[in-house]
Amino acid sequence: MRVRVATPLLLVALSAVAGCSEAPRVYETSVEVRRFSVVRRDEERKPVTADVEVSYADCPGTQYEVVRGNRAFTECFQQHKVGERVPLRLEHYRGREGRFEWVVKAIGGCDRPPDPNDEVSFSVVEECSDLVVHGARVGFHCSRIPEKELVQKCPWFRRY
Amino acid sequence: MTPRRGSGEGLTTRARTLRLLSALALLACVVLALAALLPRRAGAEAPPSREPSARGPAARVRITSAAAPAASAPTSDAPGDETPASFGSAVLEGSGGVPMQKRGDFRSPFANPGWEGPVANVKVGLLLTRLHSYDIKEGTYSADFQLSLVSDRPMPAMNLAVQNGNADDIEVLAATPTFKLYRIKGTFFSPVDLHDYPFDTQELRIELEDEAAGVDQLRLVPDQEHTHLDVDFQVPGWDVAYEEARTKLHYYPDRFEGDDLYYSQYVYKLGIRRFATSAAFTVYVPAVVIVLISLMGLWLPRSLLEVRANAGAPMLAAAVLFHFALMQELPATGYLTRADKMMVAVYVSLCLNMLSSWAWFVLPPKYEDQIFRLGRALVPPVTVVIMLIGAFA
Repeated sequence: MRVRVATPLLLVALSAVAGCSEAPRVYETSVEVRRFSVVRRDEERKPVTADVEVSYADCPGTQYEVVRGNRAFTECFQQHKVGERVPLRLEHYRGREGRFEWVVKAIGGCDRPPDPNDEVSFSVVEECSDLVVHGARVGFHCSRIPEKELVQKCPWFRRY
Repeated sequence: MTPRRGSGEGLTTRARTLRLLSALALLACVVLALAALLPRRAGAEAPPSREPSARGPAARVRITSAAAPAASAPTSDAPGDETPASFGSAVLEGSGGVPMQKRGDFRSPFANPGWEGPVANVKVGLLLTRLHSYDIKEGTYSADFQLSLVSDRPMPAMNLAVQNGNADDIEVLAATPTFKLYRIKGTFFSPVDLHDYPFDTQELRIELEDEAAGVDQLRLVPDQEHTHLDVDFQVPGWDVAYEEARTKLHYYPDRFEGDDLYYSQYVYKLGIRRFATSAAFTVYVPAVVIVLISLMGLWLPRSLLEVRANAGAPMLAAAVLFHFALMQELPATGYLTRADKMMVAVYVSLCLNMLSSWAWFVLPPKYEDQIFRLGRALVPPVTVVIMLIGAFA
């Protein structure tokens, strides 16, 4: 009797623990470079940090991200040009606030080690559509919660 | 034969006292529940207060620019006289009344047929940098944002005014005839929608409209490419669900004869959604725990009636207090929120549970065992169904 009760309870508990400690996943995709800006230089005018703005062109909606990288990343990325399509590798994991987050690990073959104190990198994930009233366009509406179609095609945008 | 404890004629004084106390406890709970619900429902008859939307100096704060062209700037013929320049072309018919325009598309004296050239199409961009102090009970919040106005031709004198609140601080960062940039801090109001509470999404609005220029001079157009949230923008406790910007041609109910001028109004909306996990733990988990504890009493036989009773009435009191605490955070509504429906399900479940105990006093003693067994067999599944209905209704 005890086994009959305890086994399902144990399974439920294990499932819960397994669900909460989901392992990070690595995804690779292709992005378009929209901007490359050196933001900090050393005394010899050599770049120290740079921002790379990329858009996830293969994903539905408007998704773009500004990623700041260190000296090695900056030097490496200078070989790429704005408008070029480059590979991007990212890690998708469950964040501290209970939501899924992602961090870019490499762009265009250049490793980008994340810095936990980085407060300037950001991403915009939105799907916009025209707001039409009585047949007239009066504005726009941008959903910030990823739709099913977006998550199916680009699963790293899943937040919950 | 020894009379069975609690049987109809053989009730002991102690059992009678217990019965009386149970009845009193239930009565107190019901009174408490009514007392908790009544003030809110009474308040529900009055709609939430809203900032006055009428065009009047008290409701608006001007966002004016010194560098703006003076084509339609207010004139000041006499001290305290703020009659718009367009009134100069309005004609007074007869000996009194409202002067009216004889040229142009609008009769209103606020229309400006003298405005040269086509209407200025002004693209409105907005960068929301901070939103804080959101009070869902009042529907108020403070926001800091930057507003850009870019037009294809010189704009008229801009007198943008906040329609749904007050601009507390306005800083002009740029002001040329075709480009203006403001930094604005203000307090705003939006009506709240609590139908889905605690899984609700609220819409926070910023409404701007020019105080003087009608659509014969100025048309505002939302600029999608330049409408954003700042980096790391967040509203504590809430998730950003959507952004929306639109313009509408605002027509005021006639304030005077010939009041036919439309005004272009820009409306920015930020949809914020309450974090679901937090909502579930705040509302649903305590409610379910209260019901579960009360259900445990069903496994106690009649000989332990006092203990069994303690799993019912106190839980009802706990539910009422919990519901009362929830309602303190919300404004009056004319409808039931999802949390209200859940709490109604909790009340029904608790009453059902208590009825299963009272049945011993109402029905003949020969049914004692059947009542005990039926209570255990029927009440839990019925409770589950009631709670599910309460959760998803």
